[in-house]
Amino acid sequence: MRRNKSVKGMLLLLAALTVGVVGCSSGNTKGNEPAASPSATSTESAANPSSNEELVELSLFVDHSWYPTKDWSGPIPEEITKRTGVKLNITVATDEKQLPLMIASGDLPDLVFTSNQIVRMSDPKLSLPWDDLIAQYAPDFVVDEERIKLNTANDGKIYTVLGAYSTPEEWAQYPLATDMGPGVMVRQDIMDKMGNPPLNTLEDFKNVLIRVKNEYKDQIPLVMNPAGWIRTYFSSQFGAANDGLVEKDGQLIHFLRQAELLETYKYMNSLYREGLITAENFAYKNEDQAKQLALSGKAFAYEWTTNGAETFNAQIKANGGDYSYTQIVNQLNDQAAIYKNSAGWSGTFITKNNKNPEKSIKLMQFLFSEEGDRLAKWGIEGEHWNWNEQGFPEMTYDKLNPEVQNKLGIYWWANLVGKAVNEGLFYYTPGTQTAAAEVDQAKIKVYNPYISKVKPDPDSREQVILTNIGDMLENQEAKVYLAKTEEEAVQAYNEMLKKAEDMGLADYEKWANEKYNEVKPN
Amino acid sequence: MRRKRTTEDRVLDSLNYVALALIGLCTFYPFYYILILSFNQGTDTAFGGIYLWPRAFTLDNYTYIFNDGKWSSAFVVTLARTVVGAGLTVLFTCLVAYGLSQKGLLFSRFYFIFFIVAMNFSGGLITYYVLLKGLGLLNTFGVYVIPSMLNLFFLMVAISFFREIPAEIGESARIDGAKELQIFFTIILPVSLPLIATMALFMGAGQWNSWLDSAYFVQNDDLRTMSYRMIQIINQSMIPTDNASGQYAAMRQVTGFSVQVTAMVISVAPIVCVYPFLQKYFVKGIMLGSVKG
Repeated sequence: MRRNKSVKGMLLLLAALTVGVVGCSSGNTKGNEPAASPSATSTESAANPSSNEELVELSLFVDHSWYPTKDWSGPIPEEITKRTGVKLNITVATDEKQLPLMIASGDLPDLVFTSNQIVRMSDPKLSLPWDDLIAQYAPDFVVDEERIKLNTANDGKIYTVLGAYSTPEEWAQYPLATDMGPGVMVRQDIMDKMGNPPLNTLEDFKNVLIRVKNEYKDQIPLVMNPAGWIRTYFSSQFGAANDGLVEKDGQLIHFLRQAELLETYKYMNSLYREGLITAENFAYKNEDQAKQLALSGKAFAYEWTTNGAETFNAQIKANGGDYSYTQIVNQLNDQAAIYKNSAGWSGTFITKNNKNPEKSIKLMQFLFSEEGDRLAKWGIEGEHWNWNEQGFPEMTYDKLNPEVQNKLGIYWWANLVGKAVNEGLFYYTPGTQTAAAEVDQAKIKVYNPYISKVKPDPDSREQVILTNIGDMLENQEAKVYLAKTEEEAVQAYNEMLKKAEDMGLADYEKWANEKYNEVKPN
Repeated sequence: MRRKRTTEDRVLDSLNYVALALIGLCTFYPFYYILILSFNQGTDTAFGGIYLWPRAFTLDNYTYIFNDGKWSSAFVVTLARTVVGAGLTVLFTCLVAYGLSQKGLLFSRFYFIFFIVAMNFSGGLITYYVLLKGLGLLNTFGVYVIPSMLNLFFLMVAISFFREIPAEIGESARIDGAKELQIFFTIILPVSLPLIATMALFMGAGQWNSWLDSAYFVQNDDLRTMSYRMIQIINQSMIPTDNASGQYAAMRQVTGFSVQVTAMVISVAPIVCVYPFLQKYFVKGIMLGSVKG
């Protein structure tokens, strides 16, 4: 019967397709690997016929789903391969669950680059300690004392050296190496119309906002970027640490306890009571909603970052607007301080499954060295950048354009291990508002990276307390900001503090101080 | 005899129409909204206020997604897994269901308990990963189509469907000397077209949109699916804008939101196109497993 034949025929075809595709693809996976190496070695030998180093291909897992470059391509990676003999085969994470899955199933690649799982990966069952590798393969790889202390894991070994960190000495050596921080910008056109009133203190700032509220009814005096920047600028002006732990009188306290934080809250509450910020601002789900107020001309002042004004101005110009923002460069308060407690951002781990630990540790050594770090971050000297006498590199390419970065393969692979000063120098552009704001802000930085070592183990009691307090803070903070009188605001703050105490704040601080005494330098 | 339409009838009818129209609008409008937003400039969308037409028409969102070079292989992989995966699942599930639907099957109680337990309990992602590794399915095309070959929910549906088919059909064929497999392919399956169409569409839609297995279980770049590529693009557009390069990237007219919306349209469009052709099977398919009057 015809119908039989067609049904049977279709099923046979299906079966054939399955076998064919399964067979083909597994053939492909086997076929791909040998195909990759001969072509790679031939490029390598063509580029550098004198080198008789074999090309090693290592797999790297990048635990950052937003990473802008996802393959090892471009003139810079090629140059790195030429100098180290290592080519990286890169997989970028799809979400934050992928790495824990790989850890749990034991299926790790050669190298893992992560910031979320640093404590988990610092485990002798998963990673090879750098101390042993250095002793065995690269005894000339010298890591400075400070970094050694900061990167020592709980068992006394080093499993990674976090990138994006620099010692205070390194920062002092390169004063133009700037670092993005919180900032506030104001509409220059409106300031001009008001006769450029002074903006030297927090009172000045409030008064200017009040004037804007009275004279320019269609403007929202202050809009805050809701994605983590709501309190940041003002807490820096009051000299309050914005999160984590802070050292006061020789003891570590949770940032919630600071008197300076209460001052910050009181000031921001007064801004709300005067009608200078809207309650809506605290309810925005993402920063686009706040940004569109600025880009459509409705926000007089915008709280965000030190490079916010440059970013907005470029976009406003592109949209055909005729106004612009000016970054407030000077600090508005004598006690302004920014606490830099980070010991780095993300680090590369050499896993137990690593096919070639020798080449791996040598790659790390190269990228850590001044020569390798600058190559990876800035490019080839003379071709991509030239050193300006004032103390920063001048790039010959459009350095902030992500497409250019992608094509050159520049900057992003340097994060594997590298120094923060070189990142800062990369971003420095003289004559910009950003540079002025960041250079001024560098004066109020307070460094204490050892605080970042006071990190509870995942799933420990202290971690649970910390998480609970953090969640409570997120939920209850609005009450402080939106209180109707100053007394109510102070009361709401005290209630938050009491709730934190009930959750175990004192126990957490006691543990933190014990840990701090162990890790801090004597 | 046909009753005349009274005013009561007319009022009830209009109420029905109005209610259904409202429900239809509520269901349809979100899809339409997503469609117009995908053709609207991302930064313009952030201003809000778009309801009927794109205000700043652009194809930028689509070119942004398709700019990435690896779409052709991703498309082939997705197409292959949809066709092969849906086909295998239908075939296998129907075979198992037919067997289970026969009266007098030995140990049928055991099988049923086995499947009910499997339907409700799962070992979790990590044990699944280790299992796939042990079976050698990781990083092959098989990981897309083989684990899903037996769909337990549709197994139950198919069992009750096959039970509705009169046993006489099979018996008469058996008397004539036909083998069980022959009966299955030549008699039972052609009669079960509603079931097959329903299953094929559900399984096909599932295969088309699935990205988790492509993300976690496959490393080979040639084996990635379209949905995985879209997740990648979405992730990359979410670069934290605090970083200076991120802010530069944020200057594009394409925002994270507009990329997501466009990806939604791209993943839904093929299913919407295929649906009308299988429509006629669905009308019958909905009655699957229902009690005969």
